[in-house]
Amino acid sequence: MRVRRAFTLVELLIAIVITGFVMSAVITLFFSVFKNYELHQDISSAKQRGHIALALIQPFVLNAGLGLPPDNASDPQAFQRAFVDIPPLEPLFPAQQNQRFSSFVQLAEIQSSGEMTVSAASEASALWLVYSISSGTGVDKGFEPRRGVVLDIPIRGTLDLQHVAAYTPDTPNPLKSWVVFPSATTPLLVQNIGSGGTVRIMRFLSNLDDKVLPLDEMRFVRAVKIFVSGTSLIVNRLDGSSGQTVADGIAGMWCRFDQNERVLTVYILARADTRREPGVQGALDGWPAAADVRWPRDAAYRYAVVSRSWRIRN
Amino acid sequence: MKKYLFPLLRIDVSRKRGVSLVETIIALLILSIALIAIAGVPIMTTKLALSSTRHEQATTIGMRELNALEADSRDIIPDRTIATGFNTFTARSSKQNDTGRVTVVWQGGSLVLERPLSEFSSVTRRASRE
Repeated sequence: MRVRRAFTLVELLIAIVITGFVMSAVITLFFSVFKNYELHQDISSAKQRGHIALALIQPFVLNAGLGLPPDNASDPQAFQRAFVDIPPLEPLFPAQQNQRFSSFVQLAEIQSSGEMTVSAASEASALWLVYSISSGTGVDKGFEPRRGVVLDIPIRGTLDLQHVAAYTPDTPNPLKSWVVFPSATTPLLVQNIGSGGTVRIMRFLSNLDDKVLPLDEMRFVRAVKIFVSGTSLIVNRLDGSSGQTVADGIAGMWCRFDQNERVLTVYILARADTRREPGVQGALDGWPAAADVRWPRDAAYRYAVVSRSWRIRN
Repeated sequence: MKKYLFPLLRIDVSRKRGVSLVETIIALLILSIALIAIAGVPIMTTKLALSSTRHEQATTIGMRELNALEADSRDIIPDRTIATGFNTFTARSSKQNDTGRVTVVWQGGSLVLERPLSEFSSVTRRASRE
């Protein structure tokens, strides 16, 4: 009979032990590779979410203050005076002093009750903006608004009457009756809109003296309050409608506005898509120290901070 | 008639020798060297992600400083140090030859941002209403 050779028991045992070591290393390695993949997937999805939120805020910021009075140190009341005298404008200047806009960029603080109050600090958790949107119409000739003087001005272009309305004391949204011209810095109250096709006579009333240049565009005045509530980014257009959720999974917002440089910086704290085990997020990088305690967060998600700065040029 | 372990493959059982222990150990050694190389991948990706986060933060800071530079009427602007939790950045701003330049320096890298900027850019709005 032919002798058949094979592994001895000892050889097999040694081989099994070595294979065991190597396999445990392989499994640990793959585990850490997958964990690493999860981490980076979370970070990139959270950042993407944050960038989406910033992109949703951006149009309001880019148009903030266009054609509106500057809030410079030499005339700190200019913004309020431009609107307030005739008539009172409820969305921007309600009866409560701590709800009033003092500028087209107004920082506000969300109280523990959920109510927002204006903040005089250079950083806060909510952003209120007054901005203007394009109307597609404009003036051929320049004109000079004077305080308290009614002017009838021909406006060229097709005016969409959904966006602008002549002022009446019981109008549901008085903001719709204000327009601006970017070459000036004074809002004008629309008192009457003449009928007509491509040229309409509009009756304006001004609170300040100013000068509108020829061929300037007419823009509609709008305002928003942007803030984070729960895990949603909410934009409240002050047109009588309630706040709308524009982005989900946003755990926090922090705004910083430098009065001298006029640079607005918005920080967004965004959540990743997938729930992991609790305590998965370590220390946060880039979230401002002053804002740190303000967000009750779901500890089973990872978070990322994204931010952007805009200079407000009105 | 020969016997085959796998008739299709025609492997002759009587001629087939086993793999020796030494050969196995050598194979495992080679495998572990390859594994050590693979182990570097997550470390590398984490390093890469960290450096891209720093770059992103530096770009954000640079854009902010470039915006602020537009409003700055000073000839010489002092350096600004910005800490963002894990990292510290230093921003150097200058306005020369109608070019605004911001250099952001941090540990392990630097970034230069430029844009055309007139020396009168800080006068963007009439000082008072005529």
